Amino acid sequence: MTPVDPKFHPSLAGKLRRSLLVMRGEEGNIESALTLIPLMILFLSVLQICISVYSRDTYSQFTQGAVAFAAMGDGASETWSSNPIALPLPGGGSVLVGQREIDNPAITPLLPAGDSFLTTGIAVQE
Amino acid sequence: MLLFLRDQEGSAVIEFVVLALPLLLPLTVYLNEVHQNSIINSDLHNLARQSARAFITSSDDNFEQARMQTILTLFENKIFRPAGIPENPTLNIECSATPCLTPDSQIKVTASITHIHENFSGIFRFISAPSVQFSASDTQIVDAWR
Repeated sequence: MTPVDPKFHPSLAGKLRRSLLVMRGEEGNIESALTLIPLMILFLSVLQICISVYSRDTYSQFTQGAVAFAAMGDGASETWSSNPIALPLPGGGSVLVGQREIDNPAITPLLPAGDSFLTTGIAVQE
Repeated sequence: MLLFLRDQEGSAVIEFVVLALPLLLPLTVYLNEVHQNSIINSDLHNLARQSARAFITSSDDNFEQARMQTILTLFENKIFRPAGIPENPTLNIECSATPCLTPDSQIKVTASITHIHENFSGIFRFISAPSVQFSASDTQIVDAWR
């Protein structure tokens, strides 16, 4: 393709053509930036999803374990977002419902507020 | 056409669009499905265990079903709905003795659910999955001294 001098294209079409030439060119750092920056954002986003999935699975198990421990009589050492609630069961006894809020750090620029989610555990009190 | 294919101008952008996106985006969809299945399995097992606990700690035969229904409703509202699982689980009870609350008898509770996937449409319609049946069970023993 014949190189076009952008000086002779002051109109919008000229600007578009100049941008197209910059994108298609392989000189300098432009090509690297065009690939590396979106690819890095995409990679970090997929990594963030992996961490989110893993932590949701893991922390829901932790919360369930903590609620089961509290249901056996000793939940004072655990930390909760709000105190576990004991709901009555028909015929006597109660079921304990505890919740924890988990905050994961954000590693992708697409999720600036971080990853926050609530885990819930339910256990019949002994 | 051949010249266009051999042309290396702008190849970085084309590589990103043609290679990176089709490889990484299905990976995210796959990860989401694995996560959903793992959560359902884990929650179902916990539901079966807590339902069995509620069953064997019942003081009277008349309250068994009501206690299990309370646990089931709690799991639906607090665990399954927030996790994006709209289907309702079902419980099945097997007793090793009659009546069920006979001391030392075994109570097996099986929780099951049919999860219907939300399939894609348009150009992503090839990514479709059938409904999946999940089930988990837990066995508890009635107190010998009740």
